[in-house]
Amino acid sequence: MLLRSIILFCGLSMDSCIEIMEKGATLKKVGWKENILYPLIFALINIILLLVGYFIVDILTGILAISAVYIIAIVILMCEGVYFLKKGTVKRDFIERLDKNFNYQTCIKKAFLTSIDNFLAGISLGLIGVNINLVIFIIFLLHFGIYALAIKIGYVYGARWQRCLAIIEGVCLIVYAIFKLVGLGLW
Amino acid sequence: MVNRKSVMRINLCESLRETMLKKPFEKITIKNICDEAGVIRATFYNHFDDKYDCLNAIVEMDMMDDFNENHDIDVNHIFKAIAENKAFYRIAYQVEGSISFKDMMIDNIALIIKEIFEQKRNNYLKNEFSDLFLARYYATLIELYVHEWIFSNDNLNFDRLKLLLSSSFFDFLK
Repeated sequence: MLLRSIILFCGLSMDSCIEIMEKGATLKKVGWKENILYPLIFALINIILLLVGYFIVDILTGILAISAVYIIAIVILMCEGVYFLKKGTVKRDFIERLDKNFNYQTCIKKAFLTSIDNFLAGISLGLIGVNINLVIFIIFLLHFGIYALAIKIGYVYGARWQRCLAIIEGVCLIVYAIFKLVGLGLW
Repeated sequence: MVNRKSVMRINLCESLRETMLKKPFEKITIKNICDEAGVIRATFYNHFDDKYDCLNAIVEMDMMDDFNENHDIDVNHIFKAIAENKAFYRIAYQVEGSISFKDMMIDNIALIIKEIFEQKRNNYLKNEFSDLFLARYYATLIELYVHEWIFSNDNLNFDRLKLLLSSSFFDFLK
């Protein structure tokens, strides 16, 4: 379970990874500050939204039947997986253009936008009843490490492999959703 | 020429020019340009916002340098660099995207014409048409002519261009 969760969250980090890599390619300078603070913001917001999703389950289960919430969470994850898979197969041109206006505020906004899947994954994990305390710190470190690497890769090599990363995320989410459906006996 | 423009800026422009002869423009990354120039990304961003900006600087450099030196209406000077880099311009004309190469050409030719008008324009239709409007009008015409010439094997015939510029629409009607 622990390994599966780690693999899932590696997959979930990919959209933020794409975003931060593209950002790295548009920054004039990526010093230690950018290399630590931007990944830290992304990793922290990822974890916060994951925890919000995880703990919101208690509220949702009070309103809806547990199985209904569970299925909704799986369907949303599945849809998101398909979305990323589709995104990975469509050719998209990214132009490396100097971003003079990038600051912490924009960074936080982008981190929130790319953390919605973490929120949904948090809901699913909450419903399944996985003890998240065991993995939360590992997930945070993993995300932080991946993003720190991504911003450096983006700066040095430019934004590349976006399609590949989107496919990885899509596959991870779909496989995870299928696992849950199998667990429910609906597959 | 070199004194007025930064050596690094020219170096980056030449790197893009070289890279475009080897690789399609849409596949060129900032890293490719930087590798060719032997600089880091920060240096590129110190001079240009993106590769389109750099490409525009090449056109500007090719056209303006001779013009600024001679400050002459003689289009021979303006298009000398284009004639010397015809192969590059054939490739560059394929560039589309946020700003097409055609637009870059028109903008840069218009800048030169506007400068000429600011210094040498008489009062003919001065209230009817602004310098900028006329500059863009003639720039579009010249760009069309230059485009035809770039994709042909002929030498640029300035007398034909002058003939075209001096003719009005009504001259072509019966």
